[in-house]
Amino acid sequence: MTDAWGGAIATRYLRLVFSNESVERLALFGDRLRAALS
Amino acid sequence: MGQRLAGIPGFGIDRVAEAAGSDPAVLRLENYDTDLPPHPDAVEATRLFLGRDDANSYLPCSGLDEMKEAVADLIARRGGADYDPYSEVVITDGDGSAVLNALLVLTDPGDEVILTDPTYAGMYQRVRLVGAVPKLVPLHGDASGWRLDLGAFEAAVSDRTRVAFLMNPAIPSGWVASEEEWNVVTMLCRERGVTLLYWSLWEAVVFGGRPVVVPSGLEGMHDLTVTAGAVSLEQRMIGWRVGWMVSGAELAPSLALVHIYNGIVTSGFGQVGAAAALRVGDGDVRAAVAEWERRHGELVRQCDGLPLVPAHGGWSALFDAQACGFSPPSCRSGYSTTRSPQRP
Repeated sequence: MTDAWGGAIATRYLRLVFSNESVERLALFGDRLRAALS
Repeated sequence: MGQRLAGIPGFGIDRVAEAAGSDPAVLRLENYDTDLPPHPDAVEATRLFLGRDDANSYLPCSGLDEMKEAVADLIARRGGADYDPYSEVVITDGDGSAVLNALLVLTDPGDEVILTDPTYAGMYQRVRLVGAVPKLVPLHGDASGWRLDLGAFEAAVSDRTRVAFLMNPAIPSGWVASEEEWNVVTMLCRERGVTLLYWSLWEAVVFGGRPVVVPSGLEGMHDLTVTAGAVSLEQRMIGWRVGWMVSGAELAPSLALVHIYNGIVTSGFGQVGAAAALRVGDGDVRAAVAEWERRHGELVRQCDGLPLVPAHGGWSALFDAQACGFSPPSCRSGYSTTRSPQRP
């Protein structure tokens, strides 16, 4: 997140909203996240 | 142009949404939204009053009695303080304007407002919009969740502190205050004469069987709490734009006055629908919470072994991108390319 959301702690983090996707769709997230991090 | 906006950053979520486009393969994790619909009673009540003359008026400016009664009942049935619906509740066009109204009433330029780090951008920047000075208190996250730095909170209270501005559960972290944390926060409010501006956006969206805590019901907090709420999230009625401000009798006329000059009134048919949703009761909310908790559980499973701080409630959780070697600007880029992930 940008510093609009706080200070040194906020800017460490990526915000993940889980309320708008089904469990079945969220089950796709882990592989995509790991690919993005590799 | 005036200088009020100097240093106030953009919101960013709209840019991420635009980058995601309309591709259905993209997971939509950027915006506070949900696909769970409102209760049918709320939709039907709204339809019935759409176009009626008595639901198409500026009056009453402070809101319909039936909506005020529903709000006072909601707070009381969850263990909050007893408020008089007709003199201590003001209905607003959403909770965002409610908290801006409250900040305008409670602070003068230069006064200090305590927030957490991280906090919701809509809280932090509204504090700056009214000319108050934000004082950030750390939330510390780990694999068990978030905890408020109570020593830092106490140290942050000064003679200029007017407001402790908290949301519980909190956007964006999903922090839910523990009993000890509420005790310290409310003790400092009482001892130092600080008003708790409590954004009750989704106070019942708590996971793991945690209790719903309504701080106005805690010792000595009836008159020290200003509650700002809405039907947007728990009742899944984002588009209705109906919220409220609730306070003790001393503050209520000032909150009603500033509301006249900032928002005036929300739609009558929206208020009727919102009141119907609140009257349905909390069983409807608990059913939605069960589904959101299932989704959170799946997110935690997907991040197994990675630095996700689990949420104890709410709609979002935070992933420690810096621990994985990403700086905030590169996070924004990587976030929007979820479908074809590659390191920016």
